[in-house]
Amino acid sequence: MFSDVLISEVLQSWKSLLKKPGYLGLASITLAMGVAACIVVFTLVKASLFAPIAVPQIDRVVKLGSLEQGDYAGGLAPIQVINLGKLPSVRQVGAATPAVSSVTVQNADRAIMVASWHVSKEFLDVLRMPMQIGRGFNENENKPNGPQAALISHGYWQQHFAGNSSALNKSLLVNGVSIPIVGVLPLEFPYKNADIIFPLTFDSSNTSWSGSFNVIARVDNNVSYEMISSALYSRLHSLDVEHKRESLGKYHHYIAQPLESVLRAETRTSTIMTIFAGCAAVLLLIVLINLSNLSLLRIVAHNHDSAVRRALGAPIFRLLLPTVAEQFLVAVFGCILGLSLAWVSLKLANNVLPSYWFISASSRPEISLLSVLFAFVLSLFVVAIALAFGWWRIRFTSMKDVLVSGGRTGNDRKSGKLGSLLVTIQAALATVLLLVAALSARTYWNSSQVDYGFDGEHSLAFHIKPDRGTYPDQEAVMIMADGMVTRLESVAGVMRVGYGTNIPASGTDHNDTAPFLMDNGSVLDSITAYLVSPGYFESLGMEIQQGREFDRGHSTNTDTIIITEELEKHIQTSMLGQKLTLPYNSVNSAWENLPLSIRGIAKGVRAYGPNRQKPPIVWIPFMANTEKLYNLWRDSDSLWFIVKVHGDPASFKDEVLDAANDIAPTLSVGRLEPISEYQALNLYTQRLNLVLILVFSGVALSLSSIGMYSVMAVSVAGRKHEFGVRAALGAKPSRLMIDVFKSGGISLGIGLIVGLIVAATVSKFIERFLYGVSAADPYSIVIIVAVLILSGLIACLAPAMRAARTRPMQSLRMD
Amino acid sequence: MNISDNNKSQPVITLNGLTKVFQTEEIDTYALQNIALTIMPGEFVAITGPSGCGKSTLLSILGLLDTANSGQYTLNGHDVSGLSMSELAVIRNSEIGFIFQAFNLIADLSIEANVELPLTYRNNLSKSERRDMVRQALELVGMSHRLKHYPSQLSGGQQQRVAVARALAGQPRILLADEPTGNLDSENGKVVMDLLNKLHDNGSTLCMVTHDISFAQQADRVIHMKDGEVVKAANLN
Repeated sequence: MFSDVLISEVLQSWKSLLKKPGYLGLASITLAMGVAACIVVFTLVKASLFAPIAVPQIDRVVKLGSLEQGDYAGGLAPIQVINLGKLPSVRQVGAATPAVSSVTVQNADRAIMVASWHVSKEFLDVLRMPMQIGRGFNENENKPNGPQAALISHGYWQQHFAGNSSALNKSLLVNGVSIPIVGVLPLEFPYKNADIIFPLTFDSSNTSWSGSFNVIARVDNNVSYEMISSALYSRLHSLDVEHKRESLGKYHHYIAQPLESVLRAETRTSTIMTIFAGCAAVLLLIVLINLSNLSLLRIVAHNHDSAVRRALGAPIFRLLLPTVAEQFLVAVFGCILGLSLAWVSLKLANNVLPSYWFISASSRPEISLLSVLFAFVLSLFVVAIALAFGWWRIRFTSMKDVLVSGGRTGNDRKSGKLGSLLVTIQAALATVLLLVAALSARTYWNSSQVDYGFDGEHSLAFHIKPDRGTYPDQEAVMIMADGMVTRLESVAGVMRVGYGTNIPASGTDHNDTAPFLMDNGSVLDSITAYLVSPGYFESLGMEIQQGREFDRGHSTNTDTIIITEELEKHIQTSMLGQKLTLPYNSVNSAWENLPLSIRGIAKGVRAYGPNRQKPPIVWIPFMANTEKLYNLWRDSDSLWFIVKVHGDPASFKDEVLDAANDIAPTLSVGRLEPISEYQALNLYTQRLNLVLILVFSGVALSLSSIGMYSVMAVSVAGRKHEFGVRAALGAKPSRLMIDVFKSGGISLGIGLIVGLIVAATVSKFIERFLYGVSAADPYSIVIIVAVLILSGLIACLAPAMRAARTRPMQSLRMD
Repeated sequence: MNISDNNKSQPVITLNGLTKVFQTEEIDTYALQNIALTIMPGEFVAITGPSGCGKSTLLSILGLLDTANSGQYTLNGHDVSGLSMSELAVIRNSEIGFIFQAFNLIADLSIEANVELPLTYRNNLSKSERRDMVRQALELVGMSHRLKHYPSQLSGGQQQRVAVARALAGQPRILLADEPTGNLDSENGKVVMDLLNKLHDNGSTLCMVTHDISFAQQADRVIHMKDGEVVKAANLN
């Protein structure tokens, strides 16, 4: 009996809501945006920062290394790894090469370049992760000159072997050598950069100080990281003293850090995730305020209905029922729409976001039960807001006045003030987000305009990985590379070709540093150094400011180097004509030091990307007498070629590829792209961040505009009589419009000022992410003021025009 | 709270020393001062007076839409001062029928649903009972042929007749009418007054606020107010 009344009332509310679906659409979309933004961001944060790492008892695994700069442990040299010996409370120690390097894998039809990594058997033992199929390395494979073996990544297994277990019976033709596949890494393997893993072995006689190997250890249960650090420092500092490393400035602090924190730091997403989480929180706040505003306005619009029902004796429950029913529909629509939007966004994110953002392959962001629960709770909150406002209206509104006027009283003073306050808060929050977006855009713009110090506009680059089988020594590599230069320079339109162990902006900075000794005996530590051929500078459009470039013939370049002006500035003395010595014997005491005369000083280049300082660089001729240096680097570095052409470099891709295949048919060509593409890739993350922040601020701006429009529309409807009186007294339509704009402008203006004050207080946090622009950038502030004023004008336009169209008689007839 | 006692000798409404003050930051305005009033069952009382004299405020208090600052209000022998919002709502629904100058029909509801609305707030009526009561009320005001129409499809006079039907559908103890003809032309005003007279003739208790002397003279008793006070009371029948 009673239920049919309730059902009928609920249905009646829904019918009314659907009859004029504007409110339902606005409120549902607003809720959906809040639901989607929060789910997407918090799912990304969870997948990126908090996803579990599938290493058993990871709290017992530490990374051992030197603390040179930054907060995280670096690597150790082979001599240090070998001399670690048995550290107290350390059960097992494993090592891996500093970074991945490319190898050429010959498939049936073509050669492909694959990222490879060398790890010791113990490294895998420390991780204790069972292989997907097959096994890890055995004792024999772990010995120097032991049998060849390879592990492949789960992704490589899926891509090239369709996830078939028969892969274990197959071999890979790597750099011309057949290597059997002995196992497939698990999907959860936390080091995802390499697709093929080879055994890493250390000869106990290896006394090399070169290299920065990844060293991890599994430690006893009841031992602190500090204790391990202390033992490590004691052991390695003694070694430094024994080898007189202080002469090279090589006294380091050595520490043991939890592997988990190191791995999470390597995703390099904590900063951007913090920004996203902040944006999402601000957006959620805007959404809740907007929903409150819409809800309040809806309740105000129902004022008359509610007063009539109260006069007829409706109990409070029945008075609130229509509002609850309406908001429930909004909640259902918003929740479903929000979840759908989040699902689509996360699918998109899975395809767009770089894999290194996520700690393990299985932690890709997906909609979870928790997300659905969050959407449900947020939607219920919408109903709760409506209930609260509904109760407030019933409790504090005079139904007598509403009934006497027949429902023409419109918005009352209290609701109007509350609505304006909510608009002000929204505007303030939107200001903060817009400022972040404007500053991000300026940062991106500044980064994209950065002078890299070279002119690669008409150049393209590629890299190859000469294998030791076909090209056993540096001379063999040089013959092949010089042949490549000659072949490429014979192509019509090619102006100049050079090669080297790296190019600026390649995005790889594996291990290209070396110490240099000055004549006065002081040490220049960790100076970026490239081995380069004649033509390298010309093909990259690099400017020699003093002295001269390398000559075309190799012989006259012997024992000379070119340095950047940054190195000269660093030393604070004129360097041209002076000597720097490559201290080979600091790497291996059996080697001779190599003195090099400075023949030129080049303009500095941004070797590590647009937002990083120009490093001091030494360019060393790619000569036979630098073989020791080349041998240190050739396993981790590729050989890069730069081809300067007339016209569009992209149009030379096919001819360059043909030439490369002619000269080195067994090698795969990697990243054959115009230099401009390399530079653009350096800005990829920044661009991605900017796009996401722009999406947030765009949504925030839209929601603020919706909120403002709603308040102004209801305010104008409530002031219809007032406008009628004003019109009757001679106010022009333009004057009535100005009244509406003025009213909206006050809320917006206060919100803008409050937002700028809030932004100023958090500017220290923002400034960390900026480049070439301060948090108080006047241009950005002018832009957001203009954008907010424009959005305010748009939001107020329709209500203002409605006010201007008020006919005095129609309004006054209400009296 | 149940205050429905069918004692014909007991007043439906008794007011004693009723005072209503509207307080603002600057000044206190006495809308009603020391009002004493008794309305007997079956009586038709008209309240008249100039604009702002407090007659609508008095009717709102009688209809439990507003509360007095002081004084006693007894409805069917029960003091209703100090009752909660919920208790007042129950009494409004069962004991009082209100007719407004502005009709106050709900635009989104059909005529039938508008009249049925107060009945749905009672938990003891079945759907068929409610439907019968709605039809009877609409037949009484001559609007039973417009059941499925909406308020916007009716003239002012028709809307007020529907409002009357809504007021009397729940068979209240007293009908309160605030300028029921104020928004109507003379012809429609006469139709509504005839309807109220008919209800009075059938035994309903009526209290009506009006400016129109000719309509006031159709009541049993006319109370004239000025500046929040009853200045004259005259029995006409």
